[in-house]
Amino acid sequence: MSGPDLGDGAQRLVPRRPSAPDAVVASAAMQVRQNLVHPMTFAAGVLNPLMFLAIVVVPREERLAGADVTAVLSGVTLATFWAACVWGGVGILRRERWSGTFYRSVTAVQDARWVLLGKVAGATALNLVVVLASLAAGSLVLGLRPEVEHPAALLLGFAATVVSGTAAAQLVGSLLVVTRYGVALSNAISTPVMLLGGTILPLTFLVPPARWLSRTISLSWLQDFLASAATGPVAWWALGGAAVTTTVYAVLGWRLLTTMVDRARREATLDLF
Amino acid sequence: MRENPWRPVVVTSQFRIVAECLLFTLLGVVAGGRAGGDYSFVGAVFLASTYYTVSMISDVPMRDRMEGTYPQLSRAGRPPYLTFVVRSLPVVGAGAVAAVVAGVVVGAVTGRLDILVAMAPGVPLLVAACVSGGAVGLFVIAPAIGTRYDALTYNTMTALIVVFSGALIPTGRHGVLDALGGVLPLHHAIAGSRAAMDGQPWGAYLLAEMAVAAGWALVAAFTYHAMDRRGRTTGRGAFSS
Repeated sequence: MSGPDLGDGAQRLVPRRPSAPDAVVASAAMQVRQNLVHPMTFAAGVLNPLMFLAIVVVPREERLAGADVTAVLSGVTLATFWAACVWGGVGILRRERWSGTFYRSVTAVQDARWVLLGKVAGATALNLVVVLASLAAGSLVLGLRPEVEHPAALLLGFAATVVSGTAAAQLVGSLLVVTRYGVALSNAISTPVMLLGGTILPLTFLVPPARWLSRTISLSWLQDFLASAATGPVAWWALGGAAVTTTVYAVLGWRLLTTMVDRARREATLDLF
Repeated sequence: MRENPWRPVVVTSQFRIVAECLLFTLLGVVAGGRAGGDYSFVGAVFLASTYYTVSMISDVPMRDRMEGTYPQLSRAGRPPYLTFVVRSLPVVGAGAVAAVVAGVVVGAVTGRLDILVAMAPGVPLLVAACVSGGAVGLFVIAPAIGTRYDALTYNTMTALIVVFSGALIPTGRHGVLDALGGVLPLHHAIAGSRAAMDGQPWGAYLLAEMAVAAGWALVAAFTYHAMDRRGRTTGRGAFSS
């Protein structure tokens, strides 16, 4: 804190407005601590990935090997990570409303959008870490050995996954928080994305028109990029596709949240937030 | 029904159920071609009922706790568990309907309506599976009512059923999977359905599924009775007056 000298040695203390990065980091850290003890983190990050790993791998007649293992593991990672992000994004915004902290965030000195962005980013990053840890354990049990010729590309892909997941979760959360059927709608969204996302279900199993729809989902690009880290060449074009779709999600999510808050201010329904 | 207006329920829940049924069927195709898809389709139709029978059924006992009406229920002339069972009947019925709707839609989309028709004589198996799913659904939520673990309980049970029931992972390959599946809902009903499609008798499978349902219903009855007594005796817990 700092302030003007009043002449007698005393200073009027003026709170320093936290910067946007400070707000994002603090919110992310807080959300990670909250989610670490939330039971749904176990359900979404451990149960779901292991369940899908089992039903994708065990029924296969031929044993998976090499690059196929990498493709399957990245597919299960992305599919279950997506489901966790949708659930988490909606859940964060809804809890903010229920607990009354959304209203306070909107009227606070720091832009509420940065606070929410930090919370969603923290939850998303934690989701990915938990999903990866679960699948690593599951792979050991099932004897799966992924092939990774380009580990740096794989790490870059994971980072891109967190960014994309954050943007998507923020967009979906903002869309669904305005309806009382948000939880039900988030349930309805998660499975179709698993169908169309090109993750656990390869795009070749979809009819051609559906494949075009898949390309509006960042997961399909991320899956191509992560799978290419197995044997190369690295599919940088896929990373570009993921960047474009993620940017669209981020811009839409940011605008939607802004519109929602502005409308609440105009209609004097901010105390309902 | 008044608490669950049909439009959002149909649009969201049934949409998700159909999408899951389709996803599981197509994963079977990925794993084993056309035959793999046929195998998974049968299991996926049964699994479609669990959204209601294992997950949504948790609302039945939780509602009384949330709205503070449990004390009246506890002091009534009959055990609260009986009230929960009767109130659960529409949910169990909804599970059966959801499974049929999912089967029709996914069967039409993937060209497997002939399999659905072949499954039709085994409808009692689907009913038994829904009843056993409902019994286990009422059981798993009981210890979690009033805590943050409610969603975790039925999600865990659903995951166990998906993996161990033989719906998507063929039985007879792993002794542990089969042993655990034998005490879980859907396992015997799905096996009976496949036997019925092969022209084999399925009565024993129906009896086995009903035995599983009775077993879980008994366990649930004991659990609710114990929790009700604890609430009356100690004045603590989700079932205290």
